[in-house]
Amino acid sequence: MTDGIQEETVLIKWKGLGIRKIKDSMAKVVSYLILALMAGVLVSIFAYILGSGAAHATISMFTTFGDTTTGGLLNAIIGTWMLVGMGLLFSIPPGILGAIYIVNSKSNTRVSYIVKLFTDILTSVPSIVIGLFGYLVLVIKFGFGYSLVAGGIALGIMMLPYLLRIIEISFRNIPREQIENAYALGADDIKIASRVYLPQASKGILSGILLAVSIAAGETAQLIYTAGFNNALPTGFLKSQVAYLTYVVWTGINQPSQYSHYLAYVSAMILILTITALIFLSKYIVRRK
Amino acid sequence: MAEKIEKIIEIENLRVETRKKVILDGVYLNIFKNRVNTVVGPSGSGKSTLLRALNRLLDLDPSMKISGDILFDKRNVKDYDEVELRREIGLVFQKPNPFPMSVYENVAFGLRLHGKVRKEEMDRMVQQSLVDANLYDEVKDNLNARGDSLSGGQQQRLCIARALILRPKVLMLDEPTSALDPVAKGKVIDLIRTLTRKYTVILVTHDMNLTRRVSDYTNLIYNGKFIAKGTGSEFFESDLEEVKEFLSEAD
Repeated sequence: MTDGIQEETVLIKWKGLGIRKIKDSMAKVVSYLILALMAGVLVSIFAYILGSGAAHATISMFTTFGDTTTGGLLNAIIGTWMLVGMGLLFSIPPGILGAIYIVNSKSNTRVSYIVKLFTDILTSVPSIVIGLFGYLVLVIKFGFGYSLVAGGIALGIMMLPYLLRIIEISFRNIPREQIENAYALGADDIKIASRVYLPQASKGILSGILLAVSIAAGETAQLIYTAGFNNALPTGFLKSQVAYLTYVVWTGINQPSQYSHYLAYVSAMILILTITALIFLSKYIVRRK
Repeated sequence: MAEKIEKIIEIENLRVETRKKVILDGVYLNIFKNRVNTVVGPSGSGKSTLLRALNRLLDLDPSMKISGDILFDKRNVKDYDEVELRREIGLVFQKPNPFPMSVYENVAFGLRLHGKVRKEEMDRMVQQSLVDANLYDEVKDNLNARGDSLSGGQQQRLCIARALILRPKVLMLDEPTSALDPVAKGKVIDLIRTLTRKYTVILVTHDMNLTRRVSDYTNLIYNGKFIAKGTGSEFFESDLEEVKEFLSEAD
C-alpha cells in the first residue's frame, strides 16, 4: 500500500516536472527557430551577394571608370563617397546645432518640440518623395542640375533626422551635474557647447555619423532624381552628374548583357561590405572606453 | 577674530518659486567675509536653491521665479554679468563630479574657459589650487591620471581645487561631505577650516557634527523660511522651538 502511494506521488512529481520541461524545451525550440530564420535570411543574402560578387569581381572593375555596361566601377565608388560626404556636409552642422538647441534648458520648449516633431516626420518620409522634392526644387527650380550638390542635399535631408536624434541622445547622456558645474565655473552657452557637449559626446556623434553614412551609402531613390549618372567623375559641384553604386545595381540587372549583371553583383557586394564594416566600426567606437 | 567683521553678501526677502510650489519664502541672510557661514536645514528646505540663487545658476531654469535682492559686494547680483558673477562666487556640488579628463585639465578647465594662459602660469595656478585644496601631495606625481580615477574624497577636493583656480571671493560648498566616508570627510573638514584664510565659505549641510566643527555663523532654513542665526555656540544653545526640533532630529 505505502509503496503504491509513494509511487503515485513520485509519478505526480514527474508529471509536473515533465510538463514544465516540455514547455521549457518548446520555448527553446521556438526561439531557436526564430533565430535560425533571421540568421538564415541574413546569411543567405550575404552568401548570395558576396558569392556572386566575388565570383565575378575583377581588378579592373576597381581601377577603371565605366558606364554600367562596360568598364569598371571606380567612378561609382568615388561618386558614392562624394555624395555621402556632401550629404554629411549638409546634415552634420544642422544636426549638431539642432541637438544643442533641443537640450539647452533655456531654449523655447515649443520650438524644441516642433523641431523634434519635424525630425520624426522627416524620418518616415519615403526616400522617393525626397528625391522628387530634390528634382523639382534643387535640380529644376534652383538650377543645380543633376549634381553633387543636389544629390548631397537630398541625402543630407535623409541623414539629418538620424544624426540629430543620435546626437541629442549622446548629449543627454552627459551627466546633468557636469553641465551645471561648467556653468558654475563661468562657462557661457557657446563654451558649454564647445567644451562640454561636443568633446564629451564625440564618440556618440562619431558613431551617429557612421550610422548615417551606412544608411546613406545604400540609398537609391533620392539620387535617381538628383545625381543622375556619369561615366567619369563629376567636373564640378553643380550641373555635373555623379555616378553611384546603387545606380549600377538598379540598372545593371535590367541590362541585357551578362557583364552588366556582374557589375551589379560586384556593386552590391561593395555596398554590403562597406555598410557592415561601418556598423561594426560604430559599435566598436561606442564600446571603447 | 580681532579684525572687523565685514558683510560680503546680503540677502533681502529672497523668494523663489516654481509654478507648483514656493521653495524659498522670504529669506533674509548675511554672509560674512573670511568666515565659514553655514546654512543648515532638513532635506528639501531650499538650501541648495539658495546657493543657486546666489550665483544665478537658477536662471538656467526658466520655470523658476525669483524675487527679492541679493547684494554681493554692495551690488545687486542681477547687475553682474553672469560669467563674472560665477567667477567670483564658486560652487562645489554635493556629488564629486570631475570632468572626464586628467587631474591637471580638470583644475585648468575654469581658467581655460576665460582665455589663453601661458603654460608656466597655468602650471603654477594649477599647483597652487591643488595645494589650497589639500590635494597636491597626493596627486603631484600623477597629474595626468584621469580625474574620475581618484578616490571619492580626492575627487571632492579636486572639485574644490577646480573652483579655487578662478580665485573666487566666495566659495559655496553644497553638502560637500555627504557622499564621503569618514576618513575622506575628515580631510574635507580640515580643508574647510583652512580655506577661510583666503576665501569666504558658504557651507550648506544637514550634518550637525560638521557644523559644530567648522561653522563660524550658522543659519537655519526651515520650509523655505529663514528661522535663526548665530555664531557657533549661540546657535546650538538657542531657545527657538524650530532650532531645538531640528537639532534633535538631526542628531
